Amino acid sequence: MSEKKKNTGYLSGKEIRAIAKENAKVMKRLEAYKYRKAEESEFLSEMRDPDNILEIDDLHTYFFTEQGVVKAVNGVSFDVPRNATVGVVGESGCGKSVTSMSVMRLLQGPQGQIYSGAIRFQSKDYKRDEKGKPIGTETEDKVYDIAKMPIREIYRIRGKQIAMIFQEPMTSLNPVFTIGQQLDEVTLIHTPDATKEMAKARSIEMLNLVGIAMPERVYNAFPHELSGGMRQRVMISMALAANPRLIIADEPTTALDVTIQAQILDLLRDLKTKIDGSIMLITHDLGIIAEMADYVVVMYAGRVIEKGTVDEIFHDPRHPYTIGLQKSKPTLDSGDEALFNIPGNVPNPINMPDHCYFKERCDRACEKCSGAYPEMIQVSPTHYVSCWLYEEGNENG
Amino acid sequence: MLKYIVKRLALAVVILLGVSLIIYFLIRLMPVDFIQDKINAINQGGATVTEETVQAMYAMYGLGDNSFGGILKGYFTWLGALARFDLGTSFVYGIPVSQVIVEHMGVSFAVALIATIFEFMLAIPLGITAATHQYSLRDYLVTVLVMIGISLPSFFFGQMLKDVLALKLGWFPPSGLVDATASYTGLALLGDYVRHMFIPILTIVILSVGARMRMTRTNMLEVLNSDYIRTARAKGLKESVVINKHAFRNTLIPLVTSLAGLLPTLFSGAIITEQVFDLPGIGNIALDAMNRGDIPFIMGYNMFLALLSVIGVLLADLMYAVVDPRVKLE
Repeated sequence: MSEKKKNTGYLSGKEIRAIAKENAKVMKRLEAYKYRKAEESEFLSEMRDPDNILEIDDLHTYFFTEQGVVKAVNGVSFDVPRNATVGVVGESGCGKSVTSMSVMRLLQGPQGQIYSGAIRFQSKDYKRDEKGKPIGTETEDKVYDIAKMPIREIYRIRGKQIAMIFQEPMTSLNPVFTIGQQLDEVTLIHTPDATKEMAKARSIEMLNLVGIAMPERVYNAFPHELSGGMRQRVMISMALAANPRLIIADEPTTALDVTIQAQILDLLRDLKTKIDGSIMLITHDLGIIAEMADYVVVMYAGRVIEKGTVDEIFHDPRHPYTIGLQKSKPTLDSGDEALFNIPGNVPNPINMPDHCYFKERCDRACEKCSGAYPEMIQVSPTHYVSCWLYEEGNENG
Repeated sequence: MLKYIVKRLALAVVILLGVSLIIYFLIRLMPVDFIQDKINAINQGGATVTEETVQAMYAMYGLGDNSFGGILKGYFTWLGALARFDLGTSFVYGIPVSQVIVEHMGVSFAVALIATIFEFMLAIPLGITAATHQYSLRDYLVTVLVMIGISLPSFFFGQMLKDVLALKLGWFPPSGLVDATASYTGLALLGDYVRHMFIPILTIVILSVGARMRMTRTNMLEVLNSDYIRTARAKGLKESVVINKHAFRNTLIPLVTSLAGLLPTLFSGAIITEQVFDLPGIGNIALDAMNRGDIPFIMGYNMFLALLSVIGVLLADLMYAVVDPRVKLE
């Protein structure tokens, strides 16, 4: 297989068979790992910093396709501190959503798999007996490594301690069940000894909380009877119903029009103070990040290229890609001149180069950039960037 | 809702009139002549029938005039009788058509109903496991087996089953509906029916389960890839609840409507299977009537099926409104 042949994008039958064979082997191993039975001690872990609620550490999530392995998330590390909002930004296909799906363990198997890395989560759950049944209402703190959890154990966390709000409110609710039926389920599965009446009361309370004017009526309505904004409010109330410690909002406003967007963002900001939890906000809209987030993680082609506080990222961006993103934002006084755009394209996710993925598009690339992929370089206590320009001793930085 | 049903029924009358007109004309243009066959049979017996008698017979059966006007007149005569709920008298059997239908309907209906129940009971779980284990060994195995079932012609496969299960192994009687050598009553008679109907039902189920299974699998796959299934999983629901409640309820929509569409096939009889196993069902009778030019019976039988089809389609639409809250009938 010569280098030249690889780049044409066409695969011979022999190559396809070799890929399929290799993929099948790896997928089989990972699927077996996912469905294994394991003692709790196997996936217990320790937080690096007890102030964090979630620590993602060198996460690799791969998709095993017929053309080869797509490294959708390729060594991502970042933390979500307690009671903070972390914004994850990046263009389409950079791995933002796949990161969140990995945290929820919602990847479509057998193709999508967490290949390696750790997702440590500070869990606060009811004490359980040996069989995994909750005993009483006493809670205990534990740290789980979600990446190592067998899928049968994920129900301790999924939907209960980490909840997710999706991008598409129009299609994210089951069309054949009423809002009430779908909302009640959350309480019924996550609260021990919950009755139907309790669940209904909780659901109506949640609908009230997200600012729905006639909760009783919406409770009995079917999803198709509600508008997009209303449905997204229902989705949010569903995420909140089990009192999660972390909410992952995957582009919660992308499918909504601008006025509704503002309302939903206000609601999310409002809720954060009410529920005493953290939010991981995934978006490609820098405006939303500036408004909502405390910390920002910038992703590019499956890797984190820069992370820091919202102030640092917006006022002191370091990575040429982040700088380019900031420049390409429309401003009120930009007049009718064309918007700035970063030249070139994201590299093909199969067969990623060994050097910095942004090198080909970077206007400040230097000799070093053709070498190994740059490590994370700390530029302030909270600000990290993955770029050779900021290596100690480099004067261009 | 009521207004909608009344409107649809009124429309059904128009459709049925059109259907009956077409069928009547087609039958009259068919190159089968009941009278001629009858006369040939008499002639073979050695007697000679005079031309006048022949003409008289044609006139008696209402088949004397084969011009366009004559056929039209025959049609309206038939329609007039129908308006008095009279389907006419079968040429072959000499008894009212409705009586012939009722007498032979039972066997066909029993076979079709039991076969349909088994078909759904097998196809739905098979389709669901194939979908939830897409591209796995289980999926391929189920798909290949049911595809073999779809591909086999019923006269061949029925004959094979009969040969193996009835003639070679002797577990079941090869044909007919009752054992001619014994006279059973009560439960024993029912048991005898079951033994006779077993292979025909087996044949029909194996041949038809594939299409239904493929339909379930396709629908299930489509539903499993939808956003609301992801939401259900994200809520923390167990995978079994996600599939058996959230996904299955949506997969059910096309299945239930297709069930209503099956109404005419429950009564139409399985012509080929009934031939192979020599069951006295309506399908067998209908084929015979077709060959012998029994116009009143063919008309009555086909109109009965047309009526069931129209009702089946209406039922399917009504079922849609029942299982899918998004559908409102106005």
